[in-house]
Amino acid sequence: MTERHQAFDRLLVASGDVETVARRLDARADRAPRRVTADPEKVEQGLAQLVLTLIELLRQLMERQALRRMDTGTLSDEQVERLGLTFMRLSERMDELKETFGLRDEDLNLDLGPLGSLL
Amino acid sequence: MIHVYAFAEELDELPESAGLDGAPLERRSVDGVTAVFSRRAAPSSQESLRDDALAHGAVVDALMERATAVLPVRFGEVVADEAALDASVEARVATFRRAFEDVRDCVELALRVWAAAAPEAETPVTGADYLGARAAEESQRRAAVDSLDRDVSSLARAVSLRGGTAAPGELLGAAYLVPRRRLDDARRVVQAFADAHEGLTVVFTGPWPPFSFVEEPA
Repeated sequence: MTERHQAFDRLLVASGDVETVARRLDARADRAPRRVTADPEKVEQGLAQLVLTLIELLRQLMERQALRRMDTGTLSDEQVERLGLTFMRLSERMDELKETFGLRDEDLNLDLGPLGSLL
Repeated sequence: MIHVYAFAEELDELPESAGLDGAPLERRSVDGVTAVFSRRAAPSSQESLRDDALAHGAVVDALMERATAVLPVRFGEVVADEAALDASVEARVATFRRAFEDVRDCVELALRVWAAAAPEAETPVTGADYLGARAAEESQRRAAVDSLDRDVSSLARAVSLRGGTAAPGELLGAAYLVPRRRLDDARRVVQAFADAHEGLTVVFTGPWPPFSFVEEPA
């Protein structure tokens, strides 16, 4: 495993949750196309993964947009409150759904090849 | 066909290791630009691709120790024969000289910073609190990462920011071309940042050949 040795020799600084990041990158490097399996036991989880990925994408996009509008001051206090509550609940609900279907954060993603990953 | 590893300036000797497929490394100089290559019968197969790419990288690494400046060639570049190699160097000698100048005595350092997987503070009560907390979090992180980038950039001769293909949660993905003598300074700067920001994941690697700082190869 000399290549591994070399890789560690080159590690100047590593701190924080390196394992999670490495797992995410591994998942990305795995270029095998993701499929929804037809196994009746797993089809539900596969579909849930796909649907939750899309919801998570929309949630992140909308949240970013809301933060930007808040920054530029184009939202009234009432709108900020209402949007904030929506995102907070959506985020909580996503956490519950992820737990229900046994999915981790890094599972909610799609590899778009040369474009990188969706989220 | 000829597989090219790198172009080197003032290469004192070839590394002892073999090139791809066990073929010996060879060199050819045109006007002070030394091409390092080996001969192959066929390009890499799908199965040998990974090992070949690693072997290519190992040759470039070994050259870094033996020349004043090395311009690594991206894995997979081939030319038909020596005449084609000479012609492609001759056509761009001035470009090579400038490029040697740019990377001389420098190494590439790669820095990546990610947000923590689940940044949860105390549970917010109102919607405004929630959005406010998210906004504060975002701008704090952005400010921290921007200052880190500025500090490392100040030690570097050039910076290459990787855009577009950021991995999930990645706040910074950059390569810095840093003079060898500043390597320790750069490590200290990043280590201090990492110690001060426990919520962030920081990975700093190097020294690498200046892959991110060469223009399109031959």
